[in-house]
Amino acid sequence: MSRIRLILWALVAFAVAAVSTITLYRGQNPALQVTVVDGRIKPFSLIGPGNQLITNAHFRGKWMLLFFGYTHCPDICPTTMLTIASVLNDLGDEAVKLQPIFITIDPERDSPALLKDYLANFDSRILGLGGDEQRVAEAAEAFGVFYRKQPIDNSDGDYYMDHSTALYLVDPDGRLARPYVPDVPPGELAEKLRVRFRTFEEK
Amino acid sequence: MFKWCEIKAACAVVLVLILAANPAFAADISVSQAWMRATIGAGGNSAAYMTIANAGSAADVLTGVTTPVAGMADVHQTVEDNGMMKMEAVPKLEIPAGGSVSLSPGGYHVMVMQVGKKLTAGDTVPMTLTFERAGAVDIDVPVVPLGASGPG
Repeated sequence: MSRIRLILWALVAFAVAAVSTITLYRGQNPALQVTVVDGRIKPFSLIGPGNQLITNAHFRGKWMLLFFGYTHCPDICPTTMLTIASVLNDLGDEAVKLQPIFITIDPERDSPALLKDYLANFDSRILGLGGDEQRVAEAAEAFGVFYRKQPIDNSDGDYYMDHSTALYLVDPDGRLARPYVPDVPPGELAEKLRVRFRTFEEK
Repeated sequence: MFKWCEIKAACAVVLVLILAANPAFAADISVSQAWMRATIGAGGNSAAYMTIANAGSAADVLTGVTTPVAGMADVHQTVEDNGMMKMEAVPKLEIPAGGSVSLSPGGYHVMVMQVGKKLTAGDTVPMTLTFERAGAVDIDVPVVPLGASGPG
């Protein structure tokens, strides 16, 4: 009797697990699927502001907060960079634990030097990374970031970019902590980061 | 049967009635809190934000924007499509009667493309908004630093 009961409860537990997995999967944004290798983000290698090669290994021991955008982006990128600048201010002394990174998805127009000038308008602690199409495509793929060129009608070859706009947090061990929506209030994001820092340090 | 002056008087009354019934004068549309971000160099893009209010008793529609500083200017909306942000043209933006529409970061904005010269904080950009009823409305948009979040 108790055995049947056990089996029944096991079935119930299985059903609950199955349904919640499906629900979670459904609710999950396909654009936020990050490729993970042995629990860590896939390596990327990009070009920094001094034309030097910068890989993900460079940031081991530090938290990374990554955003993929482009300098010709008129609306969402400046808005998100303002959020990051505000988060850095809110973090105060703890900001040294975090490396905010802006990776261009428009390497055709965004040179590493231009990225640096652009980001200095928000907070010079935000690091701009670029490189050729191939490097950028690999980095974007590692984070499941989509982007595509959108030609503008009657503009003589001008274009803007459609792109994923999540913020990706990577812990000091190179593990993806989680993606955040870009319109999270800066104060809230700073607080969430503080909690993450603390939890990680207590490990 | 009717005297000529009677016909003229009747026409005048009708005309006054038509004008009174048609509430969309340019004066009904007012634009406030306009601002746009500086660009980092010539040929850049920017976005202009503002609040458009319609004091009239009929809805009006914003159908176009022009500015001498840019090759193109269009009303756009930033929309999310499966985690990807896209900009969509908004060829007709309705301003409800007695209401207002706000163009703000992450939503509606005037996309200003191919800006001939670098826009610097402190500059003022003239812009002409065209409405179905109110016609052309000229505004001056102050340029704020790229890292600003509002009209300062």
